[in-house]
Amino acid sequence: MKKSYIPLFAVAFALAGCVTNQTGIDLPFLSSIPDEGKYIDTVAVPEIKPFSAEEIHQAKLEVLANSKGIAPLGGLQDYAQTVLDKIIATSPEPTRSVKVYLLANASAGAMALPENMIFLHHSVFNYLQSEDQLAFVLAHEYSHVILQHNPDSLLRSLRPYLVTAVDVAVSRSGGGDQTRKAFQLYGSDILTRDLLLPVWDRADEREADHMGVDLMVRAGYNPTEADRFFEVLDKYEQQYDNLFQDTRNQLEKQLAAEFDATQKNNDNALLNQVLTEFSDALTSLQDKFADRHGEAKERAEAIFAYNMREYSAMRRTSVQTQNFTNLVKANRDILHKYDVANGIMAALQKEDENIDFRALEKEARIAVSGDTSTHPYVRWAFANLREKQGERKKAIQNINLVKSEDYLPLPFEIKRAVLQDSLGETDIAVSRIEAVAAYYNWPIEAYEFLYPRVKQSGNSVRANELVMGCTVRYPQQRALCSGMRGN
Amino acid sequence: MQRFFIYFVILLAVLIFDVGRNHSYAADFVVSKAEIKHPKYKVELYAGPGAQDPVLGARNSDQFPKVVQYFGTSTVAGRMHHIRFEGDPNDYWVAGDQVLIEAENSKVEITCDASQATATGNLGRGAGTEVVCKN
Repeated sequence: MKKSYIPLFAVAFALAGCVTNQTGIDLPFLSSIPDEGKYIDTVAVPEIKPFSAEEIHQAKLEVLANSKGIAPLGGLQDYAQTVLDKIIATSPEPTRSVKVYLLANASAGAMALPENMIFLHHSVFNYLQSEDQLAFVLAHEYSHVILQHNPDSLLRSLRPYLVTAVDVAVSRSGGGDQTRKAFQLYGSDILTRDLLLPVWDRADEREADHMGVDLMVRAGYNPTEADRFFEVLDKYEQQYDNLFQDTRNQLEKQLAAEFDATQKNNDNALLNQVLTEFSDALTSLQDKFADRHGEAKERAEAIFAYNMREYSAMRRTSVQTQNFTNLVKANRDILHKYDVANGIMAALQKEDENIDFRALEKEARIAVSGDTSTHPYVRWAFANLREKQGERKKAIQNINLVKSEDYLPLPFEIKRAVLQDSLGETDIAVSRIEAVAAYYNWPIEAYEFLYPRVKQSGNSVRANELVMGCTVRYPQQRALCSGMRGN
Repeated sequence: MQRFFIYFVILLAVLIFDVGRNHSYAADFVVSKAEIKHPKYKVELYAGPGAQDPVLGARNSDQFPKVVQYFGTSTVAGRMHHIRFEGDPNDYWVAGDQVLIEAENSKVEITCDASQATATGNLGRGAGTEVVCKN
């Protein structure tokens, strides 16, 4: 019998580091986490990759284009930066400069960009309980940066579908008010979260968890708070998802109806293509998120075992709660107003008959009072309320009151333009969105807004330029871009 | 007069002694569900929340009661929960990364810090408790 050398080659290949473990599960020879010793002592950190100021600026703009902007909560952001700087000082790359930003978003989330930026949702100050937990979140994200992990590009390719394909499909399939309501998730924190957060490889997550624990301990934090972090995160996510559960159910029901083959319009090939592509994309997205949610417990267990093995003594060091609690207390009113704004957005997604507009208006006034009067997050909620009440001018006024150095976050600009257009101020809206589009590097929402209006104005040259531009920038959305031509 | 003075001194001594006691150790517990988070590991029972406090024993997850009397959480040496077992007058402290405490009492009144979630966490009341803000 001929002896097979395949297993030997496979083992040699794996040991040589040519095969990576994509499962995140401890497989012999494949896991990057050592069986003994600290991960930080065994991993080779890649050399720092330089980024130009323009690259950093563009990467930041991409986040802003998908969000409701940076939360102007300077004290909290500075505090997070101080904690991160402590972590960096004892890390393998103490000279690297990484900037922390607080994104206005009530859902749980944090993300790292390779361009030395970390974005935390402001909600971390609602559900975290100690500086040590904050240190773990920051150390985990910072680990992605220094290990130069590359997030899955799935969401980036899906984003244009999520933003526009549903909208186009629904409008073309003659969906009524009911359908429109189902898609009001766009603009809510939950969809913004899904659009923004990168999907990391499971093995990358494990590496960032272990490196995160190593880094937080080096900076003097208690590693057991990493374990606790998974607990509070899970609890908060459940509460948060419940807040939007009605809308989610409604959305899923509506999507199921739209994607039901029997209800497709056989005469409209474009619509069918968009629906099919979006359906496939959505399924992948849901699988990814379900996977992420399910593995939290597994990750907590791995970290617990690692702490018992490597940081037995450090488990009994003090947890730093004082500064964290004091700062949260000092910002209590503002954080409360953000909670109120989020509650308004959740209430607006319910059926009309259940909405108590008077009560919501009262809450919205509280949310935009005092320190937060120019904050994008609370003004967004008030603008949405006004729009729902049919008070379009007042909705625009709320957006106009948002303080911003440059352009407003993209959803604000688009909403204001749509409202202006509905009030007959199309020229102003088109002119503004042309500038906004150039600033944000031509997101697909800009094409979607501009094309029909420019075409209607009789400027066919510019209309054709828009279709061409859309097709070049979003080749995967060729059908959608060409569909604009048929409007 | 002398008798009155003696009574007064005794009363004062009792009051001083009583103030010196830490009431949180003896009262105000919440009957809570206890869940062993990582059953493969034995749960160590400490005599106090400090790093130097001795270990009184350890229990396997299947020997750990599902319901305990929960008194509070200390963070001086890790997140440590102060508990008692029914029928056992001794105080024990268990590590927060080993035991998850979920209060069974439906309401706990506290002074909220920023939001109910934060307040729940800061006071270590455990997940699942309905917190009522007094402020």
